[in-house]
Amino acid sequence: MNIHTPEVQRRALTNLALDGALFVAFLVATAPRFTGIAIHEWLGIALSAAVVTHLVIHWSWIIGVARRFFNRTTGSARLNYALNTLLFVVFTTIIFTGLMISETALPWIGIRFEPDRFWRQLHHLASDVAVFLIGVHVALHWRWTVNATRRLLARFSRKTAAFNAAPVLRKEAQQ
Amino acid sequence: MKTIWRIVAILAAALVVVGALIGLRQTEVLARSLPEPDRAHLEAGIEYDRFAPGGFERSERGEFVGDGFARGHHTAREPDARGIIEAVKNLLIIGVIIALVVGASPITRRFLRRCSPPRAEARPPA
Repeated sequence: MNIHTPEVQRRALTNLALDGALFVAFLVATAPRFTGIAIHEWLGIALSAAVVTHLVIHWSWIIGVARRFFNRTTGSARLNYALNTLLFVVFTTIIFTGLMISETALPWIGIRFEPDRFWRQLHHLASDVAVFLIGVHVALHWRWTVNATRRLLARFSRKTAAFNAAPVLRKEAQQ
Repeated sequence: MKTIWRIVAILAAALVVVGALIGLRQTEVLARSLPEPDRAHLEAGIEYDRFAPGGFERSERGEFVGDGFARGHHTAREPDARGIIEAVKNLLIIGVIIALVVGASPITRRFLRRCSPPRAEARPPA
């Protein structure tokens, strides 16, 4: 199978763009003082939808490794799977506890919970753990990220070169 | 249709986690292991969360922040440009973790290769 077909490349670049956006959104969501509580909460809800999209996109990998987990698979795939499962649990914890302590988003739709120190502390603890796990997650996919970014930059520079060359070529063609 | 089933499966898995969290809340197993809020803040009638990022540094400097949750959900209602420091700090932490893991990856790969099942040896053509 040729892994450099335009279709595969296009999918990889779409993944890179989505994952990049997810990473930036996560980073911004970890700083509610910067965004203010309202944006923090809505961004968190949007992030949960983005995480579901991320999982749906990588569904075949999830199912494939889950089937082979106890039989024949590489150690790195096993490590990745365990880490991703942990990340899923932590993200679900962040989103759920975030909803339980929501001050803007849920009250906006008429749902209000009693303030609870337990959910609040768990929310902060889980977000700290998530920073660490995201670091490891990105590190384990670092080679792919670097390669895909290089390909994206190469494509972008090719397009820019073609765009810059177009008027010159047109002028030459007219002459 | 396939995508909808996948989303349902993901949400079902998330529900299992939520159920476990609610169960933990009921049994108070986790509640006991979480740190108690600072006594000084409790005495002042303010529930101060040491676990809120930024909260630790403040308590270390001995400053009393009267407005409770440093990052939290009381003071952070309005956006503040200075809050970007927290995002930068997290980016730095992630950067350090990436550097450490990527730096250690040759050793890890060698270890994981040892753990993975041996590949079937290629048979010579008959």
